[in-house]
Amino acid sequence: MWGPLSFEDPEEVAFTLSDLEIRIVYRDGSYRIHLDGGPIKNQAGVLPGWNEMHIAQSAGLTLEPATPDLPIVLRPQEPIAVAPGADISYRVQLPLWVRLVSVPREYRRGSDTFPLFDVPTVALKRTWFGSGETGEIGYSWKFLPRSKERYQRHLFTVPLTIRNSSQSVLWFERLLLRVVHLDLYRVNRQIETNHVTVAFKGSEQLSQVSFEPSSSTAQRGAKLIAERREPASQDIIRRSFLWLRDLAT
Amino acid sequence: MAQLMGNVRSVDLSVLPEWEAIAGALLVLLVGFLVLRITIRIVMKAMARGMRDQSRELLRKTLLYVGAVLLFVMVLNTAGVSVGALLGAAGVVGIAVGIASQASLSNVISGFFLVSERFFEIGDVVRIGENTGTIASIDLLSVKVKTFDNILIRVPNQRLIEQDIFNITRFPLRRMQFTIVVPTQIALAKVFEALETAAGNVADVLQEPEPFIFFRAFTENGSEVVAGVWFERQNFIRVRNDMAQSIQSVFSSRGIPIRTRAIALLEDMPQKSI
Repeated sequence: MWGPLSFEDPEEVAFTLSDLEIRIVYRDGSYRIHLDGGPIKNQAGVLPGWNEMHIAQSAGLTLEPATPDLPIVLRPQEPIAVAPGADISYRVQLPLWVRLVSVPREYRRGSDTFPLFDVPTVALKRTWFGSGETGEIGYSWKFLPRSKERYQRHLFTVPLTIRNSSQSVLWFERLLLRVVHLDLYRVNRQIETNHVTVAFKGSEQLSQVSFEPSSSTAQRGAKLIAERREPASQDIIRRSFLWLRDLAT
Repeated sequence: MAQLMGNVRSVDLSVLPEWEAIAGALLVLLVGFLVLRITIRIVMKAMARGMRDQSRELLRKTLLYVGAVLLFVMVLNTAGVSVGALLGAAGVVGIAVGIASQASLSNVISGFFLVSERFFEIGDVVRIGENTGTIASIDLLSVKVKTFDNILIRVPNQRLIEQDIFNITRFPLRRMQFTIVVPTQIALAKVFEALETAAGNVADVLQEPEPFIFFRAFTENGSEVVAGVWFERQNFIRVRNDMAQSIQSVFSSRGIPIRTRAIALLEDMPQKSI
């Protein structure tokens, strides 16, 4: 379903991704786009219902997958203990965003895609990560720690490794995953991102987050289908872990 | 014509020292003005990166005023005016002006305290006395606050420093409380659950910090229960409206009445003659 859309005149195309419904009607050179479903209720800048758009014929429309527009606060169903020096790897499944783009790839500047809409496929709750003064906003997502994912059209997979580089046991309760820095690739029929490694260095220290470079991901036979929302270098040092005791203070 | 030219040639500029001095002073003024502007630009570029708006403005104004005073002294010196005598006169005038402008001076000093305290900055939403609005500018004598109904209020710095100021948007998160009164016969556990659901249904209510719900008191109107929810500061109006709607809808679906104080007017009341 991802990629350029072509229409006869007149023609109607409908997509359903989890709770999100999209219908595009092309008639007499103009598009009518209908958005509906739980995920777009209260979504800033999106009007549910019919939206009339006149788009230059030459531009055409492209349906693109995207990562969520905010970081994800990952919470495992149960806290996970990681021994000093050990690492664990999971394939975390997260909900996709959908973007309808009219600007062809060659006319885009950097990672700006100028989407006609940019909406989630699942309604996510917002949450706060960190202290009230210096924390950041994100979406909350509970995940089942699994090493193999189950294919679902509206989800993408983040190959995640958590490395405990500290001298103490790491109780993994909450992890801030900055998905805005991840590219999306197609691997067989699955959509997945670059591999993310988070190295925990101690509760009082910042964590080192490494993103697998695009070249390595491509070598694994993955085909790039959507670029990251925000650029980032391959390594960033940020606060990534949070515990219940932090929330109590 | 030849006679006229002869007269012009015979004019000796050296006998007109005041003209030379004035021309020199003008030159100093022009060059000094340019140097001052360039210096301010270089210093601002080098030092102001990462500074807050008001600190940047304060630095710029300080450089400008100090530079202007130095330039003024240099211009007077070049023009041959005795700066010492002028400063003496200025001292006398200064005392007179100082006595006359005590209030302004007090405002200026208060302004420095306000800026150094960093309690608010341009763009913050503050409540000062009866007024709530956005800080539009922080100046030497006063702070300008733009209210939400588009009125600009000037608050003198001296008055500002003496009263309580509430900075509403200092932190990115805010909490909003709703007090609900229900009949005492309704089980409190049912009310707590309804409020949790109502908060969970509002997209802009944050999951963490968690909403807190507590029983406050049994009153003559019923059981008073408080629900507090956290949200991002910019979503204030949306959260207020959505939470009120969500509480109404969840309570109505669970058959929990919300008590409000009501006045009933009864007709045909028996009248008592005195």
